Amino acid sequence: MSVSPIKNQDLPVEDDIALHRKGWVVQRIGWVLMYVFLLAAILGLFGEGPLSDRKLQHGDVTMQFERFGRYEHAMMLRLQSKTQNIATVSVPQAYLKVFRVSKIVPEPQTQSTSGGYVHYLFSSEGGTIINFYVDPVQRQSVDAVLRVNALPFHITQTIFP
Amino acid sequence: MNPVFRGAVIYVFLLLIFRIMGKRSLSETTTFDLLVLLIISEVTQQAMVDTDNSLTAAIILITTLLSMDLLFTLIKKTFKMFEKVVEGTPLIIVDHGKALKERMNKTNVDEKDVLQAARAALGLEKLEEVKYAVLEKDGSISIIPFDKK
Repeated sequence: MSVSPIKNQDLPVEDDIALHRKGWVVQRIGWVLMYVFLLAAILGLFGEGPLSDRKLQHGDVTMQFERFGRYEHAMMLRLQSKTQNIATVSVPQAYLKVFRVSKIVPEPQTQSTSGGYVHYLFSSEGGTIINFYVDPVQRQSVDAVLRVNALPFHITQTIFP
Repeated sequence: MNPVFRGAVIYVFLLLIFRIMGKRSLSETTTFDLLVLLIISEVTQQAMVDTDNSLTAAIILITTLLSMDLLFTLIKKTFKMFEKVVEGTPLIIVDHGKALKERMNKTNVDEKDVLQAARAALGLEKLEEVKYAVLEKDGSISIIPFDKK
């Protein structure tokens, strides 16, 4: 269905139909991109969805976290062990430059730093699930190795502005 | 993020998305359209201000938005094609009483919209009384009636 210019138009209006035709094509492409963007957001490309959910496992210890997040939007790191108590969690200080730990449940007994890590020590009755609630304070990607009971967990996270 | 970048990014994004949505999205034709615009303004405000409620940030943001506006105005004056692309051009949608269906379909305007504009502006009753109806750059519809002699 082609759109034609108007013949014998006596109205002094710049009815640039050629430009309109190009604009409509760009507009339709824009609409498609908009819906693709929305679908990606629903699926969790910017956090909170299946594209973002990650689960790592070492032995019987699992770590659940989100691959993608948004600046200053709270996220959670869940550590779970089926059989043993989680005694220590070591987080690289470089990771803590990007994420602010707002709460840890249950709370650690002590905290210490050494070798570029912050070590959180939990009581022997600490349980088998530990949740770290973190807020991203930098808009960047982070690649870090966290250790749970000395087991390494390599995580990569990207924080959108 | 620096408030200047925040304000500039939001300004450019809104310009692009409203351009993609089409001219009619800017005109408050229905209650729902008005609602959407009101919600967008609220979301935009939160995104620009973030948690920074300082007077300084507010002054920076207002200055950024007005500067962006001025910059675009100057660019539009210098480059006419830029103005046409960013703001669009008027489009005739009724010609001598006849609705130009293809153009109206492409711009999501129907005869009811044209008749509404004709009634509101000039009290016209029928499309046959409209010499030209023009979809303006801002999404409004201008009506030019036939000369009554």
